[in-house]
Amino acid sequence: MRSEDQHAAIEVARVCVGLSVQELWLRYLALGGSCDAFDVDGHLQGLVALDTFQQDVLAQAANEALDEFVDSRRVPLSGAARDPTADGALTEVIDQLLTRWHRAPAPALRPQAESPPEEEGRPPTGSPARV
Amino acid sequence: MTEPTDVPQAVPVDLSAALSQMAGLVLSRETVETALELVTSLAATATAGTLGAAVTLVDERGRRSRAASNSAAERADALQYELDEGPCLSAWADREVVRVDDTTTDGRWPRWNAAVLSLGVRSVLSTPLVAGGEAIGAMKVYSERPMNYGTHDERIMLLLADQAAILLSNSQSLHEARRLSRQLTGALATRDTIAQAVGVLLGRGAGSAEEAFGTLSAAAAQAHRPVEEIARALLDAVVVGPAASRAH
Repeated sequence: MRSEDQHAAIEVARVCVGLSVQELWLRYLALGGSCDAFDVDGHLQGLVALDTFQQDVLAQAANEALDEFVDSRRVPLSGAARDPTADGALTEVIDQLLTRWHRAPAPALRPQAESPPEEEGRPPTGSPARV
Repeated sequence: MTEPTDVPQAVPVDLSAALSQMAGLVLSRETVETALELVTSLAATATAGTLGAAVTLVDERGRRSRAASNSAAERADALQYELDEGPCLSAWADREVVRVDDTTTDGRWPRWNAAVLSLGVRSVLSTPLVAGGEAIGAMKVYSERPMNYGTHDERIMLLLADQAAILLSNSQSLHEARRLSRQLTGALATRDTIAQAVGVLLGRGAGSAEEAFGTLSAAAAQAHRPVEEIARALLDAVVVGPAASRAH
């Protein structure tokens, strides 16, 4: 998404979920954003350009607020409640995160990595001695 | 319009400025409650023949907090909210001094007048509390004597209300500052968690902090969870060890 469209979309989301600029900024700060509330306000009005990373953090803050807004208003079905994103899915996502860069050779601080504690299910990593 | 490339490197958040700004508001140990009590007792002593005095504050969310110098005043106040009519609600809404000389003959709030008669209330003087152009509540005195309050009492109450409004709105700001500082503390805790998770991913080969955050954010979208939860789960998995986390 082009940045001109992104700031407008974030502003629409903010108004939709009923957050003040200050509240959105606080969420953005919590996620690691580092621009001040004044810049964020200016950005939402299309007056201040933020770098791509700051824009993405702000977008993430807006998206999380949108998710909370929608989740809290989800209409329940009469059947048994089932959370499709139960713990299993979360564990899987975390595993993917932790092994994401494993295939790439480590920046060879030690040529011989420690042997993995368990062999279960882990895809074999590339030869550790390859530099 | 500036080009996005012109944007300087983001400066670190100036937390010390934000915190000292709040600390400026936390000047005294006064709370809204003690300020209310102070104002109430001042109103009661400043007007002769007063049975009881009370103060009501309405914040921007419509919540009310009140203080009363005795139970009759408290009850007379509560009746206004129960019946949704009475001199103080009018004083607050219209921002005008309201005086009831005799509750047995005043026709403006018949239900409330009848109800407070049993408490012995015969005359009332109520002034709005206006601070910074905003009506933040009302301050009132009740008397058992009809025609107890005159224009002199109105002047005293108006003078008192001016000062009370400033004091009370400051205590409300203090309250607000406490709430903000709690939120900020929460935001910093989240930020810590995410920064640690970014650090873990950097240690595992992520090219940059931005890339690591992007990965966390993508994982959050995939699991339909907030980034903070992903970051916390990631840290838990690392601390416990990958084998143990899989056994969960």
